[in-house]
Amino acid sequence: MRWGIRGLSLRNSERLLGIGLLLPTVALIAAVVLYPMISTMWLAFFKESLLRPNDPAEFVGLDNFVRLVSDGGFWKVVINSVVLTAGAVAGEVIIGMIIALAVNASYRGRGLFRTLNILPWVIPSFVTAFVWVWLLHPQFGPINAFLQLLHIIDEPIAWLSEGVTAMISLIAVFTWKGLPWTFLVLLAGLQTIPEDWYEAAKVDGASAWQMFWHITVPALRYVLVIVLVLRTIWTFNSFDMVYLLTGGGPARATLTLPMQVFNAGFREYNVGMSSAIAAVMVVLVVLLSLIMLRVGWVEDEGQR
Amino acid sequence: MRRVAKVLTANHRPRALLGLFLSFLAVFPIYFMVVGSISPVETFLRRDLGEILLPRAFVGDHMAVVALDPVFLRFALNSLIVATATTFVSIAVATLGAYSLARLRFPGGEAIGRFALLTYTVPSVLLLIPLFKIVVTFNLANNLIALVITYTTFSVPFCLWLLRSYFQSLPRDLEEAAMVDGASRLGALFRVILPLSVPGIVATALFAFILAWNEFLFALVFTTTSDVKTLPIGVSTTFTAEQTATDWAVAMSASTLSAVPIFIIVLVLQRGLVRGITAGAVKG
Repeated sequence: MRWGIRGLSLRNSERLLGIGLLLPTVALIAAVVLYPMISTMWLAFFKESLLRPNDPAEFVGLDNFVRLVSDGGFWKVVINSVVLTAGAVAGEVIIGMIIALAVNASYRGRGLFRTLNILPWVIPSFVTAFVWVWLLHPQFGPINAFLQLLHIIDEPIAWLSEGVTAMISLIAVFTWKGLPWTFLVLLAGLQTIPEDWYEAAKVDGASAWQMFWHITVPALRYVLVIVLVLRTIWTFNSFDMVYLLTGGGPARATLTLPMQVFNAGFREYNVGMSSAIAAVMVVLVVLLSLIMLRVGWVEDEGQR
Repeated sequence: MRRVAKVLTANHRPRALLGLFLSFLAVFPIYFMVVGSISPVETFLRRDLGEILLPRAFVGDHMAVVALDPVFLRFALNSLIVATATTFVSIAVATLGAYSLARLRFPGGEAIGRFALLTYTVPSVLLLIPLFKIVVTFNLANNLIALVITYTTFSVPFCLWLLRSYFQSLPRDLEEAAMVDGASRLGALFRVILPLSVPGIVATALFAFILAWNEFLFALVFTTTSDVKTLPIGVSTTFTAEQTATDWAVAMSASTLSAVPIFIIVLVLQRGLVRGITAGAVKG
């Protein structure tokens, strides 16, 4: 090093400076993410009202969890969350893959085209929710008008007022919002696959379907696993669009876990119950992610 | 337009058409909103698909009603304050941290950086009650500062990683030359590295801005009176709350105007936006 004898002490002071510069980041994350996270896990074992913050919290052990598990309504909420997440993530990955494959060759596109497609991902969720309420409106919505025009339906459908169609609508809106990201990440993955692999397969007489399964899917495995895991986590944790589009209704048909955490905490003021639901939610989402990572990873071992 | 034409005349015509069709599906709801906010109300209440796609008349009334409404302007101003403050604080914090991770290696630094990124997968609702209690304890309830601190924390991890990779792409010799000339580490950072990083910092800053501009959940819990509400809560509790047809176009205008800064950022950033988003810069 150029600083000769002073090198050692300089390295030490550089270390100190390094730690010092990272300190604000660490402090923020500790105060705003880490501490609240641990606190929620802890509060799940207590009985406490949000309206009476000065009353001491009462330790109740596993009571909150026992009440959750024995409440039939709670399982319905878990199922809703899983259905919404599975539906939206599957929709995004399947449609995203189809578009990515379709445009891969012709779409060197970095122009306005690709930029416009990103819009659903970046516009505020309250805007998305509002527009879709109107797109799906039973009387005035263009979706009903379009489906009637094609004679797919005879009568307008009140999409958000029936349990099943409300869930289908939510899945559609989530898919619409998540698609740009999924598509772009898959496309970026596709563009790293060398063209000559396909050329070679073509020479050997492989069909498009065979090329997809034997070249595209294995080459994209890691990208696919990352897309699946991140989209699952983000969709599972998503609050605002459900809150704004259906509010969990009609009659709890689209109530999801994040909605329930909010309701228990800020409508029933039940801190312990809200925390317990949040804890269950985190355990579920970690489990789901681990399963997906595990499956992706094991397949890899088998291939070698 | 020329690009679209080129895509269409390529030998991948059916594929390109599929791509175009799906782009249409992606853009239509937004188009519907923008057109809805500048069309006469009757157009949409007639539910004429042709007219929705190719509107015949435009009016500016609804836009004007919203743009001149002091309540809407208050929400917009609050959003602007929160998003701008979040952006500046995030960049300040993340710049220091990113420089530390890029140049001043110390044991545990890398682990901290990775851990920071993990916060991206933490569900927001998990933090809701403890954060609400903290905010109340520090007397920050119904105060924009609470939002700025929260949003800054959420945007810092990603800013940290974007800026770190940016700093790493700059040659070390630049700082070393400055330091041989007598500048301190921090002097080198501020006088040599930062001026060279302006493009990267601007792109990163805009991601932090988008995050803060769009955030809904914490704004819902932390703000209660309309003088401190940001656009997502303000507009969705007033302009777009009533799902009746009367103020339909006004609600559409409020939504469109709320999204205008995002439209601008999208147009300004273009490629940089796509790259950042693919890397995870805006969370869904």
